[in-house]
Amino acid sequence: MFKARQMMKTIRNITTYMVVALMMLFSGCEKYLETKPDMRTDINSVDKVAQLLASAYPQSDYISFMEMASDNAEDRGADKAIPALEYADPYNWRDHIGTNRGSTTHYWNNAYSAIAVANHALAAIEEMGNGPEFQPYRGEALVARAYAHFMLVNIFAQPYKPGTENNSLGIPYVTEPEEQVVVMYDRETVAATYEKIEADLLEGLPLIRNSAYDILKYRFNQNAAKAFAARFFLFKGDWDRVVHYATDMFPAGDWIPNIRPWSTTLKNYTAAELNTNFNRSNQKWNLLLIEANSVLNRAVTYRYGMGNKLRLMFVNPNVTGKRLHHTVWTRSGDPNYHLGKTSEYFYYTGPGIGYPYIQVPALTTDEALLNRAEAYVHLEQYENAIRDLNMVFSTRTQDWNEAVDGVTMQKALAFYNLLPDDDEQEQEVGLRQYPPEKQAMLNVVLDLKKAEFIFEGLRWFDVIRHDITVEHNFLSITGDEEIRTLEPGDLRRVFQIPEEALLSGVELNPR
Amino acid sequence: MNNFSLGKACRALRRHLFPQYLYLKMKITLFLIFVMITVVQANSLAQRVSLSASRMKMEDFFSEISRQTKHRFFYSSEVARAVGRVHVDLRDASLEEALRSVLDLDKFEFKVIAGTVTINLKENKGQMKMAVTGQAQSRVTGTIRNREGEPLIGASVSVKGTTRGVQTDVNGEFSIAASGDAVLEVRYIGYQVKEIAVDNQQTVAIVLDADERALESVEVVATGYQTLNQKFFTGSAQGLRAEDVKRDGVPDISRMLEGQAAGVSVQNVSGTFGAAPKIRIRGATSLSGDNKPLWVVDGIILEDVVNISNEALSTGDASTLIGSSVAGLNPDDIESFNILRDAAATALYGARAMNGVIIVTTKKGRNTEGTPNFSFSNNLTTFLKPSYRTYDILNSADQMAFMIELENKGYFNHSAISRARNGGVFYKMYNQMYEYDEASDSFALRNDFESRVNFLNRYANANTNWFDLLFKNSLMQEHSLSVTSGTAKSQIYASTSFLQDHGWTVVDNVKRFTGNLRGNFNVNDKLSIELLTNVSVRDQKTPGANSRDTDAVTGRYSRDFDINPFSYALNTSRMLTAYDENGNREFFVRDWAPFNILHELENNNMRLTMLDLKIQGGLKYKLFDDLTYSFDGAYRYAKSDAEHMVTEFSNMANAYRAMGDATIINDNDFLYDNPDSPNMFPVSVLPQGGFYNVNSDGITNYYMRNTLEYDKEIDENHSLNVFASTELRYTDRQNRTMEGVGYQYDRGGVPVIDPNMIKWRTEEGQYYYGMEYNYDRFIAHMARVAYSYKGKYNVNATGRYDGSNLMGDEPTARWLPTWNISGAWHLDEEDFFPADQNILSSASIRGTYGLVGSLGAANNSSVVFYNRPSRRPFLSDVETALLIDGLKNDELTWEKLYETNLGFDLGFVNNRYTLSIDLYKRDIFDLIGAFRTSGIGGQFTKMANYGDMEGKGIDATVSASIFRGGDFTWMTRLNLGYNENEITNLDSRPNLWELIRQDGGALVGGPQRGLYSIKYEGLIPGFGIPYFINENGEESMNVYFQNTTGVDNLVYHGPIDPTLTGGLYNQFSYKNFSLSFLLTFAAGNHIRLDPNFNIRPSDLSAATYDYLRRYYGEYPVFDTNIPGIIDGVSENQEISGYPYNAFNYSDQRVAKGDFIRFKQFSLGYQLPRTWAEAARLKSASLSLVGNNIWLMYSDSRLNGQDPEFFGAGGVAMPIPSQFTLNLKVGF
Repeated sequence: MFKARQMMKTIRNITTYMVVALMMLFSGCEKYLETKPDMRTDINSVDKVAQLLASAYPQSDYISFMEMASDNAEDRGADKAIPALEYADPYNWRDHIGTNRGSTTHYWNNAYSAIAVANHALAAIEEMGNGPEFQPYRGEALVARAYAHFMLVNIFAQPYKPGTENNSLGIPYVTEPEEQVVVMYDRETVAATYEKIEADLLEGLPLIRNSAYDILKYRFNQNAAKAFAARFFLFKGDWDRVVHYATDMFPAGDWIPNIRPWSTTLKNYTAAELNTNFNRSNQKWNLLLIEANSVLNRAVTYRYGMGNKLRLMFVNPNVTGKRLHHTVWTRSGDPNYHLGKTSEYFYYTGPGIGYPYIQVPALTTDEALLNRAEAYVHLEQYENAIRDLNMVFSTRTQDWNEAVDGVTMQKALAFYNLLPDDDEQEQEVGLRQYPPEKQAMLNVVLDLKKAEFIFEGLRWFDVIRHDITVEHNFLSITGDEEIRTLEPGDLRRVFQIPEEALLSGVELNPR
Repeated sequence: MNNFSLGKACRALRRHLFPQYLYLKMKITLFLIFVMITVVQANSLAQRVSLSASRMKMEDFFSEISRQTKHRFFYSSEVARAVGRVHVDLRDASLEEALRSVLDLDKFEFKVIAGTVTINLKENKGQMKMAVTGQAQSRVTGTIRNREGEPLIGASVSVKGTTRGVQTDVNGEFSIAASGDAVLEVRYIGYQVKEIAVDNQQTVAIVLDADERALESVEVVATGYQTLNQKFFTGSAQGLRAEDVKRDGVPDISRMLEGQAAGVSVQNVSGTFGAAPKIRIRGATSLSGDNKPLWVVDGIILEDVVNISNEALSTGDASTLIGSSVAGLNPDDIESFNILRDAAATALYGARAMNGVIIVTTKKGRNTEGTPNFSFSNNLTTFLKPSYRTYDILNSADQMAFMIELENKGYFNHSAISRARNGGVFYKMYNQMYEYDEASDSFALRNDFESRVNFLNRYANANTNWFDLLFKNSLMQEHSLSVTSGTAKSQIYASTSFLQDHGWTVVDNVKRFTGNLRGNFNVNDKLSIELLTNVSVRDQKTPGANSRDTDAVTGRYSRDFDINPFSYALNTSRMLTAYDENGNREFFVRDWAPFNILHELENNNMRLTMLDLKIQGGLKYKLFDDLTYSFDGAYRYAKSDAEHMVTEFSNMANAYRAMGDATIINDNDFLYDNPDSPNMFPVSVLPQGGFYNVNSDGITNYYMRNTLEYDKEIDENHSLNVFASTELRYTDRQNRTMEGVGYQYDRGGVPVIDPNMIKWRTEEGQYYYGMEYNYDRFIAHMARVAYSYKGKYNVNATGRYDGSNLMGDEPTARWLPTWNISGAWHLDEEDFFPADQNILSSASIRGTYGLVGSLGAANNSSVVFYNRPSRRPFLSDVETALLIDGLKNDELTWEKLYETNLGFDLGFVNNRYTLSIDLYKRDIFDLIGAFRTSGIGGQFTKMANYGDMEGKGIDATVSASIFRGGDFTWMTRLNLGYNENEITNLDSRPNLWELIRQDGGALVGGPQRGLYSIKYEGLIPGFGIPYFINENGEESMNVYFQNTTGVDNLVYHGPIDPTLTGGLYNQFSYKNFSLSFLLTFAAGNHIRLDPNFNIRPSDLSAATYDYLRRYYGEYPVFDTNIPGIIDGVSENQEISGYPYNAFNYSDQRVAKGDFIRFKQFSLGYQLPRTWAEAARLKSASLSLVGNNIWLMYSDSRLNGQDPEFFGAGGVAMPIPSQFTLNLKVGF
């Protein structure tokens, strides 16, 4: 006889037993499975927020590609070491496809990583009640987030033009931790991006306290934040605020002991000392250093860089009538010139393997002072501009005598052939967008910045902000030279966004 | 386990063996019910019986009592027929009561001897007399034993053609009345039936051979956690008896599976003791996971001490030495293996079973009526040294000719090589020419042609045999002693073993001790308990080894201070000499310091000690009839210490103080360049002493399982088995490292520490000590229902719910439900199955469909923050930074696959020939792989479930007992596994290097790991520089290995794992002799040849014979693809990139991995019983075993090199050819 009913009953009984037993077990399971699989940590204290923010800075160098694309690089000869494409592509104004250190994608990724850290820190602060003890770090997170977005928008979007709509595509401004594999983002406009940067900056800056940091120079200390504000408002064309924030850095005006002493201390350094000490935290001119995964220091011997032409910046007399007193070094012989600014630090993760790092001088007093000088020029306060310029020149000119060597408007106009009796042909040497006096002073600032920040990448920002045409030479193996130019308005003046961004619904730059 | 009732299989057996009329006349035929011996779980050994059933078949009744009491039953078919169906209602009855309740004692008689119940029909005396009339009767006595010499208790002996029969007693002895010309028929379940002519002998010694078919059907249902009646089992599995796959002289049991199980690929990437082979069951299922099968030993999942992925096994790093967790098991303790392949078979293991499961069952005690049975086994093994005949290495004369061409092209000159990092003969020559001795006003070597020729002559003729110097034919001994003893209430198995390997090379050796104690106790008829303790201790010495590095730019693997004797012999020029003319050790230069391999091996080695302890207990309690509760728990603790001892005399230590001159000081990267004093020369921070570096791994593991099992035969047609269990695993792994600097081995062990060493290491981010914990928590709930209708149709459904902490904090990723359904149809049980035929004797079809999961290599279901020091050059600037290691991925889930399996089991000619085929298809999805995002969220490459793969394959086993039953037997078995897989979806974009390296890479459309190559185009005329199609699709000598685009320009060869693997096993026996051999084979994979080509071949390293076919000039005498030697000037002018190294990774440097290997032979001799008895032994046997004898076929491109072994260096060694003498005695 078929015992279906008996069977069903048995099954029912067993099922009941099991369900009860399992229910009892389940309650304990969740707690058991909450154990972390490894020695990871949670952000649950002020201290940990502080430590987390140590990685809220883009650990990548923008120098490689910004320098290569700018007129601070030249072809040193077809027989030179062929650089990796991260270097060759920007020199040729080609979009680089690849993610290696020194590439635009590498910087993009690392800048957004820094932003993610800031966002996680802000979320943690919010979760822990946003008490007063968190405020300096909230400030740091906001300013760091603003900084990374600022760098991104200036690299990957059309430059901000003061007084225009700025409605070209910006970059995604991220304010929330990402929790899915793929999340959609919107580029909005440059104006919108700048607005958000400004909001973060202005909210964060007053909260920053030097006392919150153990290692001041690698974090947004008060002066670094002000220097960043000065740069931001310079790019935005808010000249008064540039002056305000820069001036606020050294209210007593004691800039000279705080900027790079090229003609004295640095002049006396051996090459090894200079390499080691230039981007070091104990140097007063360094306001914000960022460790960046980079092989930039090896690029000194590559095909493109400072050669015999660019070296002239340190050989020929400048507007002061004297020449810049930086020592120009060579590596592996001429024309591999460099200023000995960087050294490579190899961080080992295992025997023989690891990551090469350089310490990027992200913000310096020298730049802040020159930014103020530029703002004064725009404000047409030439006296103030000249005062700032002379402070800079005084520290990088041999036997500086301000009375003789100091910059004057006359010298500037003469140097840039902007005197009324100069003929049109010669006037082409310099830029001519403004009235002669303003143009002359601006040229002094820009040329000084170009020389001062060679190997630091900042020239590119001046190129795009001031619509400077870039000229690159190309040498054949027989030494024939071809010159190509990158004119204002050329779409290649905006670096291309990594194509993976399409996954997140982010438009690439037009080409 | 199988209960052999008088079912179809037995009838079939009889049909075949006896003419039908004889069979009918037979009154007593005894069969043995062989119950639950190889079962993992403790069975109830209760003597009490509880059973309630109506109209129960006699066979089922006996088998149920057998199951409950663990008694074996003998009865004839007549007995079963005579009893018919019975009605029972027993509660806590004794065995005797149970039997009395169903057997009419007027008709039947039963005896209980040694756990064996014999039931006979009471004889009709008259018939009996008739049967014996006219025949001279005498008594024949004898013993029955198996091949191992163990007495077979309860074997049945009958006189052919009569109804007389007896059983053997506890000692395997019997006595029966038989005429001098009678033929005795001997039967024992699990063994082949044997007929022996009495031939007027008074005593006979009979040896029975195991019956393959019977045992396989026994094992197939040991699923590790559950012992399921075979009729419920519907999955794909293969059982192997340890004695069949045993490889005497190979102490690691994981290698026993090689070529023995269909669908199991075992690749010996390293033969060093303790290194796991690369095992794949049905191919790989994960792109980023470890793809290792799960080992289950005695019902407990065996966790690895360190998680080493299959790919990491070939690195030769020291951690690989503890890669094989089963290396602590004594092969003599193993009873059987069972390989579970498909979803239905592995259902009980759920989320860890995606790569298959290997069940290992160790031996347990037997009921010997209290007599201790000892077994001693002794292996003496000797190894063959490797020989130059099988490797592609130039002799010293050819090497010298090659070097002279290099010298002529300007490579060796004083300025170029005198301060080189490494230097050999030419380094020495050029330095001696500048070594001025003031006293004699002469140079150590005159700089004239004649002196130089003389100097080089010695080396040209050296032809050093490095293999001979670095290897030895040493002895490995294994001694294993075990004892089993038991009564019906308690059984004990205890064993201990000692292994000592004196080492194949001059430096390595191993000692291993194991101890194993297992007891089974029946407290009462409801409760039984099992206790198990397993200990192993290992003490191993190997050459000192650092970790392997990969340089993605130049595409080279490198290892600082590698002194692996095998790689040294393989890579070192035969021009170099170990001893100078005066017989003293001759030193050359490595890392700017003097180097002699023999000296270095003495002064730089590693000692690995490991302790592995497992304590396990289980209990079974019968809650009700049919419902059993069981608990199993285990604790395991293992700890290993690898002490890397580098003495102050070693080359490695001396490299840290090699400060020859300013050039060397600046070049030597083992000197410290202090950032605080940038103007100073680098200095040595190891002024004295060497290193004492320790790397320790430890594991603490708890395991618990609660099980309820309901097993019920509802009536003759319906049976049901419900099984539910919850398990909990808890594993903590710890790794500790310590770099001991400046240890003085020769000065009482006092360290001399330069604080700058610590400062240097700290600045570089290399900490002098480290410690890390990993926590693995796992919970699973599962239930399984199996139903069988008349034993014809079986259905099986399993559901499982696994939880793990490994994916991170988020509860959503924590749990995974999996399920499968399966069924089997035993056609031979059908009425329509032709009964009276001899051709197709059994047939069944199995089918499975289900979901299996596995944890992938991602742990970021919530955001992961780690600590790390900021990477800044000055310690004063360094702060602890927290960083995001992985952004939260709230979609993270387990890797999964849907498997469809279709299996056929066929038996022919009374199952003399069997064929088992499984076809499977796998849809593998949610694979975790590197996924490139927009980067905007802050993490460019995320580990996410974006990969899909398809797999399919066939597993087939054919076995045949070609001769059986007589003096000569021949059994043969062929296993084949074919598997191919294809990645159907994957986003990762590997760079060139990740695809062309020997481990292969993953690309959509390719296999899980495929081997790709740079396309070789030709040699540049006049120079012989190779050029290729580079990453941009252009002809160029410069290929940029780190490029992630342009992988389309690579050439695809094939998978790196073989698609076809298998083995052919043959076993012959003739009387007391036995012979077996095993051939293994694999095909379908490709191998990257060793990267021998170098633009500047050094005067230290060995060149291959390929170099003799190199490009010699613009007007070549022969066509060649081998690059030429380029002179120094052209090197500077013509070369860009690393073309010679790119050549190593071109399509010219790939071989096929196909091979056929004569893996093993074994010749055995069982000592006649009389001899053994004279020595007061129960049995004795002797065998000679050869392992890895002959590589019968491999691609000629390999020039004889082993296709399985990667020249990995470190602690890796190929598997040696070896011969073992095995002695086994029972007493």
